[in-house]
Amino acid sequence: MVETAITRTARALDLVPFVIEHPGISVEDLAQEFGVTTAQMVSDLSMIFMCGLPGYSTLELIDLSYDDGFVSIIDPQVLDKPRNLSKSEIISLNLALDSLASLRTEDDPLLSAIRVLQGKLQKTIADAVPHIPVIQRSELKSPLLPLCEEAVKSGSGLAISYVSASSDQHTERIILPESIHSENGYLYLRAWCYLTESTRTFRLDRIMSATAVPVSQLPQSTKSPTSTEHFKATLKISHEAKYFYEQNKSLLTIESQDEDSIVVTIQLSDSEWLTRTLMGYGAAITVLAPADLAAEVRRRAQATLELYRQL
Amino acid sequence: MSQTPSSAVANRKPERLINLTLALLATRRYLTKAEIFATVAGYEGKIETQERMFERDKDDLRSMGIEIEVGNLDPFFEDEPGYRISASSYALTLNDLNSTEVALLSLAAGLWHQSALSENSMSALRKLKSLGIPADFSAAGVLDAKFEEPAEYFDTILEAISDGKELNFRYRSSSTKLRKVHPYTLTLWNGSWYLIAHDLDAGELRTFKLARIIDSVEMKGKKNAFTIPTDFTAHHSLFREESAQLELAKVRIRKGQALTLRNSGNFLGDDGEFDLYEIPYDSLTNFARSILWHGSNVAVIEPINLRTHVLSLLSEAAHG
Repeated sequence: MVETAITRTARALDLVPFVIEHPGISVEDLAQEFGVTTAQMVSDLSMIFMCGLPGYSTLELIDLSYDDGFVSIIDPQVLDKPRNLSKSEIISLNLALDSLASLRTEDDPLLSAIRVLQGKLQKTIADAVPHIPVIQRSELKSPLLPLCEEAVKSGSGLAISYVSASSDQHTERIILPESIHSENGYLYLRAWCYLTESTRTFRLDRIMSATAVPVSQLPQSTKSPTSTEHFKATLKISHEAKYFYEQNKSLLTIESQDEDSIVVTIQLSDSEWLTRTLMGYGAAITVLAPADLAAEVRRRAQATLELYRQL
Repeated sequence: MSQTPSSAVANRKPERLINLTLALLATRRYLTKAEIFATVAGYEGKIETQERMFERDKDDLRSMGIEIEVGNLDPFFEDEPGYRISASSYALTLNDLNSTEVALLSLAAGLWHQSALSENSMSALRKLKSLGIPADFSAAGVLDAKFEEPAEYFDTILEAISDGKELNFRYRSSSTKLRKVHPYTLTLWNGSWYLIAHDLDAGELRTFKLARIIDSVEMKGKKNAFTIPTDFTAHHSLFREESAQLELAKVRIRKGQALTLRNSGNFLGDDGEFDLYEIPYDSLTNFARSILWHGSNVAVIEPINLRTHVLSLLSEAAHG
């Protein structure tokens, strides 16, 4: 792709102050930081070397060294400060900050920190910047997020009361949180669960209450915390069940596909969640393996049909 | 420092733009065009050629967000304008950022994986890294956030919002028709992107789901064709229109079962080993799935179209 003169100019103007803050950075690292090839970076640096202030004597040119593969600025002339943020840069950062903020409840201290930061960003340019808000359904947020983050950071445990998605039952359990992520607007906590003795993923909005448990008071586990995803199924997903594919992409491995359907494998800790989910797709998803799963879905569908006949 | 002839040609314009930026940034007084042409490297050829070059260069620098001030050298004669770039408008003035804020900005910039948003965030992050404030991630949270990437028309819509231009697009709703709007803002609501805009035909604010826009989005007319009302804010209430179209289902829920389903509806009364509930829903397909999730613990009474849909999925599954 041929770069425009504007792109190259902008990059050159940003390179100089960046190198001032990172003296001795390697050409390769610098190229990676700016998302260009090493050859392009060398070409940029040699171009900058030709630029300077009117007069263009050695005293007025931008002076830099990069011949040994490490870059330093000797004289930046007037380019010592980074350029102001552009309108589109502020929009992009603001949108990302808004997204981070949307997952946090009003009393989360990080939320106010994010709001203060957004205010500072807005002030850097005089133009009005269109605001692109991210709005999250409030019931998907969890006031327990700071507590869970603290547990991940400090490596301590949590005693939680949880409404399980797979069995729809209320359980009390002790967990050791490992990481937190968001997907499709939901927050998930991945943790070692001492009740099931396996690594499980908990949706934060289903955790009804949580209290910190110091490491010294954690129960003894008979198993070691390794991945325990030992249920595996093969499914044929037709076009009508595209929603299932989109929602669960991260769990699926595509085995084959043709015009009308795809065949995937899915790895889970147990079969309950999948069994219940498959009930809602009728003939749009076929279980190729294991046969037990196919039989269980059939059995439950028949039992439910029977219920409708009786009522 | 040898350069091949082809790279020398390719470098000519960016070099001139850089030299012009430096010259205008270094001067305290305004420089006239004549001074610029005489001293800044890269302005060559006939005077008309140089004039054209300079006009294009000014536009290019402005499109990069560099503000070129135009002033008069002599207050009594307005025929000779001069140019300069003020250091205060050129340079990033975010010196009051703390280390946690730099960490938050790094996390935020990493949120987008592709699209123009990612490019913009990364270039902004590089500028922030040039301020020399170290990042401290200890107070920035450990949440690894993932968000849906904006739809393909995102850039065009954003440009129209920035420039205040009218947008035209075909939109799929109860009937597919051409919409003419003044775009106010984009928003991500529950994982989907929406455009909030003043619909010119309807004469009121509407929300449009980006995923339902068909074909293409076109900008029409001139810049600054409208101004966004100062009291406008995107808010949950704008989505009320959608939630107002909710249907109500009457279902039986086995006692002690389906806690989350119960929480989304109203208890109507007892019915043997079941409880009767009234539950609002918007999408028939999705609601049927959450009903079927509960197997023989939940049964639909009405509406009839939901009941029929659930029963047909069940008989497919029972014979599959």
